[in-house]
Amino acid sequence: MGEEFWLRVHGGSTHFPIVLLFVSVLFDVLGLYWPDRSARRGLHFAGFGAAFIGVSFTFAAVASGLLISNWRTLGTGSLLRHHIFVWPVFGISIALVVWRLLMRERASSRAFGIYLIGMFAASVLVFAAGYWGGELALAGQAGQ
Amino acid sequence: MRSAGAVKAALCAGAIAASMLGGTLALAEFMQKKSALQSSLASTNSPQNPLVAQGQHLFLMNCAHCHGDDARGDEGPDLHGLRKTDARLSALINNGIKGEMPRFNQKLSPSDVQALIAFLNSLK
Repeated sequence: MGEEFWLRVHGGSTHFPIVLLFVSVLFDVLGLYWPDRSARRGLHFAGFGAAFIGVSFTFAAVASGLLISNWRTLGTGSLLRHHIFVWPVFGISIALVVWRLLMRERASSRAFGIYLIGMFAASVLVFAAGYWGGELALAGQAGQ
Repeated sequence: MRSAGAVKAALCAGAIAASMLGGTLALAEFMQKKSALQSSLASTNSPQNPLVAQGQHLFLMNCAHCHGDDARGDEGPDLHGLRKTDARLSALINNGIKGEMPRFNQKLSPSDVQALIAFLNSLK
């Protein structure tokens, strides 16, 4: 499997966390205020599901990204800017999903509020990582 | 009680995330060193064409800060396995790409550009 393959895997897999971390926050916030109790449970379940799937795809995104950047964890220029956002979001999103997996529905409203702030921060960071990743892709296309 | 459970879960989650992040970074560091070692062994084992060696020197002086020391790409693209004619490469080096890459026609002589192209063509 050549570099082009991993480039496609990276391009495909990165879009899952970019969309799903934000969607997860959206479902969870709706789940806090929705009037119907069973719908609230459903929305929280969807929120957790979206976060879980989003974080699962970060592993594919990180592995393929390391393969196409020749295992560079920082680099320079746009690659460095991309990585400045990638590594925090990788750590934070794993920690948040594992925490939620351990807590299930036992979290207090304060703890859940902190979780939501963390997940929102992760979704902003992943957007920024995607922006700089896009800059790298555009620079690559210009040279082709 | 509930908050103690949440703190324990947070510590556990933090430890798992930190070990995954640390493990990934350590693996990448190891693989980067291994790959650098392999490419340095390959370059010392293969006799190099003097034109390619000159091109490599010119590349390191003029191009590496955007394309990376190993030409694997950084701010600029990866230059391995380019499918372009020598004439196209020469035009790109001389005229640059507007807003993306500077022109080198004032800085490099035609023989420098030929050496640079020989080096680029040697990258697989």
